[in-house]
Amino acid sequence: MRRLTSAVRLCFVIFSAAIFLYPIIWIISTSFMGAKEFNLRYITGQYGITLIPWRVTFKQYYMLMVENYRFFIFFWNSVLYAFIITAMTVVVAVPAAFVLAKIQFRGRDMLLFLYIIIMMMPFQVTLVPNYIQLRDLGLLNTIWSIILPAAFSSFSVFLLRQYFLSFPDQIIESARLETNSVINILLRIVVPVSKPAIAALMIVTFAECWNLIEQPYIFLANKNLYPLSLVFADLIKELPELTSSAAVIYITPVCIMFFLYKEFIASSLGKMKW
Amino acid sequence: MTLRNLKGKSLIIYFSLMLFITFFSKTLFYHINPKVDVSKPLEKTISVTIELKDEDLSLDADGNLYFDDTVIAEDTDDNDIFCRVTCSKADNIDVSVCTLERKNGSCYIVNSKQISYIEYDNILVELIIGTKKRLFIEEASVIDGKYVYIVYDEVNYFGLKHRVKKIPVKLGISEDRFVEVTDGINPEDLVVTKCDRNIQDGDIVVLSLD
Repeated sequence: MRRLTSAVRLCFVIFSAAIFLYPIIWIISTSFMGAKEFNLRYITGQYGITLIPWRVTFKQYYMLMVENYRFFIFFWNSVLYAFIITAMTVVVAVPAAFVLAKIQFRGRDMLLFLYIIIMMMPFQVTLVPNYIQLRDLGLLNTIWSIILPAAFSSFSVFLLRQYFLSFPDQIIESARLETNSVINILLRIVVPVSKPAIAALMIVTFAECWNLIEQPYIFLANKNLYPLSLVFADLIKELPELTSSAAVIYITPVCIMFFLYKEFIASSLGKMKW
Repeated sequence: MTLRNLKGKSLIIYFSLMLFITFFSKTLFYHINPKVDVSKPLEKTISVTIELKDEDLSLDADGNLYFDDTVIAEDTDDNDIFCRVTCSKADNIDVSVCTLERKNGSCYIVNSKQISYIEYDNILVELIIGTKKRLFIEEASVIDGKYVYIVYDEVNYFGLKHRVKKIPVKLGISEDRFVEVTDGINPEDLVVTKCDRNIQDGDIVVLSLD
């Protein structure tokens, strides 16, 4: 009976994994397919879907990266947005989270409540006020219209605050004997100890920013400022045979980050007080 | 470098590789693809003429020269026709510009000098009935005597690219190093005149001007 249960479980796991992995494997295998075969299979529909191309070729990558070298404008836009937003998020979220977790002051809970309310709101609710604000500041259609709203993310502050709650108060009290400066305590004691949590926050923020869709679509009119995530819709219409190779290039950094730092993310999230 | 170190640096390797490809992709693009010189076809205005020789011409009793007016289209206005008569007798060649006059289904050549054409051995009449624009391309552009490559723009999400298309053409007269194209290309087409390597239909090319 136990054997049967394990077998059923195994089958379920394999089935679930196959469902989740199939599109990714399909994208990777299709990226090595020739443009002609791609058209025959997926545009004209003369042949069925396959995971094994007739001939493995790097032609798609060549076409994407050499013949359409302007692809890199969008790629580096994505990199720029993701890196700047991640860096700014850390700079903003670390002190804010520390103050909300460890410093007592009047209205702290109210402020936290506001953070949670904003965090719980669907993104689309704040899209229009954000748009009006950015328009009035003259930041629409600039990279700052993407970076600034994302850098002051309430989720990042909340996530780090939960980690800082688990940080022992005794260490901070001991540090207070040496210095009265909160900034010194934060930079010299708290940040070095909280590196895994900050790293986890950076990875989550990077992945989130790498996949930005709505904000650039609404706030940017100049296509040259578009991130790669926004290019796919047009790419499918105009150059469908290059979509797979572009997708592989697109998902690679996030996949590498996940495989490299998955232990970081798991352990940091585990230490957070919920 | 161990595999573990490599794994740790994979993100740096990825972005370095992308940076490298970004810097060299444009150079590679311009290096790999054939570089071509192009030019638009030359438009020349050429006279449309009808040549009438002895057998087409007749002389009346007064020595006036005439021909059957069916040679000229009915709707053609006589005033638009430019008529040049070349007469020769022994070593003497006389060229005169004349007008036309239609009478009873015949078209008479009216010469202001009132020359009697009976005296001449050979008479050649050229009726210039209009002008026509013709396209000329460099002879070097023609492949196998019947094809030319034209460059067309392909615009997609990532910008503009130039591709070549092999099209059949019908050739006319040759003039100097140019040849007339009677059919196949339009005046606004960009015709490949020179290429630094062999090209095929559909190839991406780089214009020398770029």
